[in-house]
Amino acid sequence: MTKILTVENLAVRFQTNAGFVYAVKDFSFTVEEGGILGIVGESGSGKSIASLAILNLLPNNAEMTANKLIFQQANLIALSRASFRQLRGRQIAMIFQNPMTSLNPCYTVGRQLIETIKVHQPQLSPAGYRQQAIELLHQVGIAAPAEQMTSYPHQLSGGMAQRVMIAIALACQPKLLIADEPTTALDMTIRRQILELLVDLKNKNKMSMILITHDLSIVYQYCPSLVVVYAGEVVERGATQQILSSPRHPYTQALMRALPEFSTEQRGKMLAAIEGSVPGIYDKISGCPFHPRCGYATELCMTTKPNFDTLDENKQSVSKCHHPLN
Amino acid sequence: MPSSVELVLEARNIVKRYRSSASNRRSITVLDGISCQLTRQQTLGIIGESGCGKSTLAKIFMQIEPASAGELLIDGQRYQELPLADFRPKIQMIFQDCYSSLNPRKKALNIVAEPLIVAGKYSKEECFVRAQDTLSQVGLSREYWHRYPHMFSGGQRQRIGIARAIITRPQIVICDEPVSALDISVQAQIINLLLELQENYQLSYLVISHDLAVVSHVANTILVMYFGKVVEYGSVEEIFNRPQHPYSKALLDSTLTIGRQKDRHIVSGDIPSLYDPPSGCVFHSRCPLVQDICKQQVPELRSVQGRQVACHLL
Repeated sequence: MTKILTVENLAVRFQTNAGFVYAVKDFSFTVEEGGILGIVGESGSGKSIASLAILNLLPNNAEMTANKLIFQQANLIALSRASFRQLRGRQIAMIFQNPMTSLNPCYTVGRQLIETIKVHQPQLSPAGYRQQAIELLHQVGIAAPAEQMTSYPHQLSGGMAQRVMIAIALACQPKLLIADEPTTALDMTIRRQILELLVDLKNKNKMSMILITHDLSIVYQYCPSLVVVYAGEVVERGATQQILSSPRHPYTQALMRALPEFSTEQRGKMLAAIEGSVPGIYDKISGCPFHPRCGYATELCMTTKPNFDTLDENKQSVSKCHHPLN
Repeated sequence: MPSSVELVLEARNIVKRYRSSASNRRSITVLDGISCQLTRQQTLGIIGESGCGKSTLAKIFMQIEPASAGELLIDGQRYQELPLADFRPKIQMIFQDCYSSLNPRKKALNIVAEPLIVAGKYSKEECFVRAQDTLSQVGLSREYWHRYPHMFSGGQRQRIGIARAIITRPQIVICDEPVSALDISVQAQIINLLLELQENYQLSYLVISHDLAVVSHVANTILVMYFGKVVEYGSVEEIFNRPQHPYSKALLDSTLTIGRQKDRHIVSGDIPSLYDPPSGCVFHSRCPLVQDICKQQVPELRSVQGRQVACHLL
């Protein structure tokens, strides 16, 4: 399998009043061509910042470093601002969690779609823009697309608004789509519709996808490969089936055990909660970032940072733990 | 149905209409004849998509909003007309958004003591002592009592919200999406805390959640709502394991789980507009089994296989 995106040792730090703080450290993963990579983590784990860093969309007080950041053949680290503008949207597009706040409330759906098409395909005529916009709305499953062109975002339901966001992201036929919690703000029935639509469009348009989520069940169902993130670091990565059936990092295991089961058999029983809370960006934790909450922590974990274990032939996943499970 | 002895909360035929300025002051109906019951130390889960009226129903139970018609009873006594101070200590609420539901200018201890001070049964000193006890019970020790909400994490804030709700020793706590704003690793802590408190204080919960796994873990009875109506109402075992209404089935099928392949069938379309309610059965526009009768006649709730269902086709 060829890799469409390779990220190696990505780190992002912010300049704050309290000095530099790291939001992302030692983030490495790859996305296979035509694949879907799930990035799972809790809030503040750095999963969104990592994706913004890939797109060079970080705020001014952030600094990014990486050993490698390669998209197709292009080295993204060395890319100029101007070349990055060519790439963003056209090659890599992104959709965000809340469709209602990502669309401009003052403009019609049609205008916002056409705006994107115009930037990336300036050669088309006004009628051509319109036609392409309608075609895109049709592709994302909006009924009566021509009529919806004149709708304002507040006239749309959450699911419809997310479909419009997807249409805008697909306007330039990107090779890689980064979807940051695309369904978190949506109802479960609509969530399924949107996820199925994304997979469908990915296959039709021969895209690759990164799906950022906090929901392990979405990853299980839709993402063949998985990266688990904790406190700004990748703690486990590999094949989803492998990781979710026998997690090697205690955090992944604890996360799965803490989830209530979708069945009535365990009703009223205490859940296996993870004590404590996710560390904040200012918290300095020595050694393994998970050790204060980890049931398997030893002295070694408190003092020394673990490295990824080496991948042998049979193992389809690697974890960053001194005492990997299984 | 549960016997009247242990019945603590009941809604009979609750209707809520709003007059809308958007459609020439025509009224829109957001709740249409909701009846449900809650028994002691049991949990009623309310599920349905956003806009189906779950939160409006919670607000009506709390009397934050008055009902347009229908009756509300605590311990068999109608409470809509009573002064708030007479029944609010018995029925309290935990909110979804633990960021906006705590006053940022008050310290944790004051936030938790406030409902008790308002209730006016105890002296101020007594209220603060009780607030300290309650905070300790929800896992916030002395060092946290004098902090402001912004100094807490999401899970800790939800603990403050829970402490505030239980300090008046209510019989009923309404939990509107109690864990959906929390990280997964913290969700379980809060669910455990709620279960523990239920046991210790014989609390009855009304839990609104879109996370069916959470509901299946805590609820005894389930009310499935769609477009302001009850479509199915019964025990959690019956509804989760043998759903009868096509909408309940669609909701359960759309839920993703780990370890079980997802159901290929997904319900299409969106919920209808309140300004243009569908004729007949409210679900007919999305129902995979729709027949002519569904478009013409409104199905009544009736007993089918040990639960109540509103569907023509059963």
